Amino acid sequence: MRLDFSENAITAKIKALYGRRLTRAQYEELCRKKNTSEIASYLKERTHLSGVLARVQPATVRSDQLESLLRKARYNKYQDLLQYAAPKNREFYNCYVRNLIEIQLILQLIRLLNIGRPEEFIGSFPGFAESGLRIGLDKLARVKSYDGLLAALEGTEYHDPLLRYRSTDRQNPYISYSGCEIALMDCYYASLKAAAGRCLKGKARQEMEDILATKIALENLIILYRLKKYYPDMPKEEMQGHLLQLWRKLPDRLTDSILAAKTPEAYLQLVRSSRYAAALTDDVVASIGFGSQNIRSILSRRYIRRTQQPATAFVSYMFQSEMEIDNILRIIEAVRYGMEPGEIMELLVIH
Amino acid sequence: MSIEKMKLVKVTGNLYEMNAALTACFEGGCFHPEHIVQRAGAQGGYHPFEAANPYLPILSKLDQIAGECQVDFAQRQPIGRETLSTAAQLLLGLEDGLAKARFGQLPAGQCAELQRESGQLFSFVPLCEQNGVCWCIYTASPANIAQADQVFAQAGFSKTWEPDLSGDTVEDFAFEKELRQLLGQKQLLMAARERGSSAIEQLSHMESLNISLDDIFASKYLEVRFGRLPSDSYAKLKYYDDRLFFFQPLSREGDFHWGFCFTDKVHVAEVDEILSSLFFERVWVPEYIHGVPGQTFAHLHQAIEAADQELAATDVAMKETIENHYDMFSVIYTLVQYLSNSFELRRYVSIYENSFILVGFIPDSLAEPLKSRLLGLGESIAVELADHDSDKRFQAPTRLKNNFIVKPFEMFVDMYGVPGYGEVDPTSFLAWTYILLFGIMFGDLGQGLVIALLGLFLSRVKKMEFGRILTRIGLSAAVFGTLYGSVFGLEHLLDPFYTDVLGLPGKPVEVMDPETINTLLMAAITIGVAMIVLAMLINVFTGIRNRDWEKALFSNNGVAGLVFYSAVLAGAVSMLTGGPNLFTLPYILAFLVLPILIIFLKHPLGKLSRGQKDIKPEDGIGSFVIEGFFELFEVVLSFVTNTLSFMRVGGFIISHAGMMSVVITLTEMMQGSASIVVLILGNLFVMALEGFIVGIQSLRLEFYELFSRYFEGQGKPFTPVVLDSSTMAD
Repeated sequence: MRLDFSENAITAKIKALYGRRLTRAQYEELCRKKNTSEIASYLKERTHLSGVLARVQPATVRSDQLESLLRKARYNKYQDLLQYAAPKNREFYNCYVRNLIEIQLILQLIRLLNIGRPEEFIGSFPGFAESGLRIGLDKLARVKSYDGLLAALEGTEYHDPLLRYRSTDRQNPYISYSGCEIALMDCYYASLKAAAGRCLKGKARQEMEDILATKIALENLIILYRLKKYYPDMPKEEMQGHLLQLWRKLPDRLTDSILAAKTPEAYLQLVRSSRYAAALTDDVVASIGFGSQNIRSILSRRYIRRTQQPATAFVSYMFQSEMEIDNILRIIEAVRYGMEPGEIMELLVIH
Repeated sequence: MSIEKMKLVKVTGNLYEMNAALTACFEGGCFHPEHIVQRAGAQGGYHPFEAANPYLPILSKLDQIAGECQVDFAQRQPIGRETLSTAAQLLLGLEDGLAKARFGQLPAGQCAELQRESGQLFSFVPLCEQNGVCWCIYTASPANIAQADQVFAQAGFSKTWEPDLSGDTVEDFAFEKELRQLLGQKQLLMAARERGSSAIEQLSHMESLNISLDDIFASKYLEVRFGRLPSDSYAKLKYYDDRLFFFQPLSREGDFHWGFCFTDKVHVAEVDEILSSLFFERVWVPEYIHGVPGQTFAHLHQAIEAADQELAATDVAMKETIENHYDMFSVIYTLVQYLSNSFELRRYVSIYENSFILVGFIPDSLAEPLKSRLLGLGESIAVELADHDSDKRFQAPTRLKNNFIVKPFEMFVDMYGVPGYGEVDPTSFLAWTYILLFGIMFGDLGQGLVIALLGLFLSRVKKMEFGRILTRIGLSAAVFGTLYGSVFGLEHLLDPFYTDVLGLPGKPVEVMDPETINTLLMAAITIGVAMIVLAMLINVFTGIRNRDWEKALFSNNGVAGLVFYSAVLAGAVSMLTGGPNLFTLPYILAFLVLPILIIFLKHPLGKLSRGQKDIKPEDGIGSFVIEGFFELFEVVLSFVTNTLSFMRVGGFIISHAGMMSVVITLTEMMQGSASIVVLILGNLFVMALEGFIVGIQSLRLEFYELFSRYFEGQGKPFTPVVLDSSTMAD
């Protein structure tokens, strides 16, 4: 019989898993590679990913194939860790990983619908995760329109939030991708909050709320920056409609001042003086997304090292593993563009 | 227990004699060079020797050949040290283009005659002699080389190499062409073999196919792709049932399905795109594969066998070629490696016009012999021996000199830092206290002897320095185990020895006796106090020796700290043992307040002791007082914590005995051979666990409680440069 405290194994396992990550020296070595083949070869032969890439042929592997394999390995780790979770708490872990994959798939399909190439969705669908998802490829593969998508999502929590983005223009239907994204992410965080409420108690819940509140706040900061930059004339009230629902309210003074900022630069200046932007240094201002990842990386690393709560460790580790994949993909892209190793290193989130 | 005394050596001389001087200094492996230009800057016109090593390209070429031919240099040709040194001196002219050289072999009988003539028309050095043949080298000026060649030709000299350092490229050696040809042949055969193996590997995925590949690829209307598809993607194929292609799986390997994909020529581009999105990896079937895959295997295997036979023949031919030229190759390699190594030594000298200067440290006992040897090398060479601190630009390096018992513990000292030249070498103190602490905490006769034997094995067989430490601490544990009467956790096995042989009432120390526990803990603290006091005394001694009065008198680990610590301890012990209360006002003022005040004012007092008049704190009085207060707080706290820290010594004695009593209880619960297994496993477990814990704790006590009081570890290690003598005969 599995006892509830077997979940503590997740914390211990995550500490061990986190120990097997790419080191700064390995990243530096990767940045010195000349092409994807060399990168794949190095990852296969010299890093903890050798098992994942054992059957890869470095000479012919493509970056999207590499990405798919790395994501599959990450998904498998999630599945492995899930075995140790108490049955009543699995809802939270599933909600955190599975729901996000589902949302990313829906958004991917919306993107393809907007450019008129929905048939490409089958190729990009993560076959490895199909059995764990509530919306399978059997439904989504046949989708050719937004109405078809809504029909495929009938009965799921994603259907209603997306309903209002149905285009009224029959001749030239265009779906508001950003609207759908906000709606789905709001839905995601609402489900997550509900699952956390049901599954987590005491310190575990408090830590999770801290993590997710920070995550949402950072995502909002990014959204606001983009709105300031690309829609400088957008009124404050409309801007607020584009933001994710916060778990914890930002101080009114900060909210008012950042919404009222005239330019993206003034906005960044305000953000940098707030506590959310400790890691936003001058050289990362160019990419606020990078700054946000930096902050989250610092926090997640700290949680992995200190926390005793399985859920906190899990969420932090999933972020770190996502970051590792992102770093590898950035290196591949940067190497393709012929960037210098030193320049590439500056693009990576390493702690 | 000391740091070896050093002398500062300055060697100057003419450039022509530099090589000989460098060889004399470095071949003993006891000369620690200093870069004078780095230390002093480019003053007085001195500059570092910066020329590129002309022997490196030749050496790289030889290494490359050796690597490609997989030649083992274990049996290199030994050449005498003096001979190599003379040859190096001879070839100096080659570097400047003032001489030409020839390398080759000569009938051994001719050597004596040519050696007599050497020094006039040509210079000649026989390198080594084998089977009546002498490998030798001679040089002559460009004007005389033709004449010298004639003389040597008459003597039967056969030239095999003409060293040339003038060009950027290294000319091929005589034997190289033959070897390269064989190597090329070998590479072609290996490629053919690899191709065959790869074809077999591909065909293995088509084994179930009973149609000729020629028929498949000759299709007029169909396009065929062969390759592998990830299983995840294979499952997606059902969603493409409206597209004009189909995938015929032939075999499955891990996460991949191998097979053919068929489509028509019209849709091939679209299908390729779909396959690409599904991560299909196309494998090009080589043109030389024909027929039904199952039948083709035999042909391919035959081809591989043929290639293997040819490879073996080529290997034999290569081996013979190498064997034929081995002696020459080996002599040239030895000579060039020596020349290259001795050239690299010039990086340590500084040059001024036609003279050089070499500065370094050498152990005092070797200084005079080196001086005599250097002065005998040539008239231009001058040697100056000075005290280690005579030139403030150079910090004397530290070379520890310890007896064989404590020497292995230098490893622990190195972990912390290298003692400064003026410091006390802590190795001896660390070694004895470490041995003592480990023995006390891990006392068990049987387990101690096992650890000692393990250490012996590691040091003798595996050549691990740590093994020697294990031997010493294992024996210590065995001695204390005898005192505690514990053998593999059996607490009464030695009782007859104490009662019948020694005539004692029982074993000397009964660890698990409740009355003993307090005594053990108090004894542990007493040992700790003694060690802390000793550490402070070493600090005072070092301070006095270096005339550092701040460290010796005013610091928390100096006389002031020692007085304070001793006074507090004396007062506390007196009170606890029912003696008089020593904490009277004069006692407190004299032995507690005054030392604390001195420690508080150690920086200004230190400045005064050094004769400085400006004793005002740099950061202001306020900052000084605040910093001083917190520092004092930390000092007092550390006296308490450091002392109590030694309680763990007593704690581990009890914990060790406790763990072993659990093992013995478990053993008694078992019957027959199972009890022996439990006893052995339990002992192994406790030895591993306790061994690590006690080892680490002892080191922690050494580093944190003791080293922090008297050892700074800011020294520079003595790192002599050695002229590689692996290729030389003694």
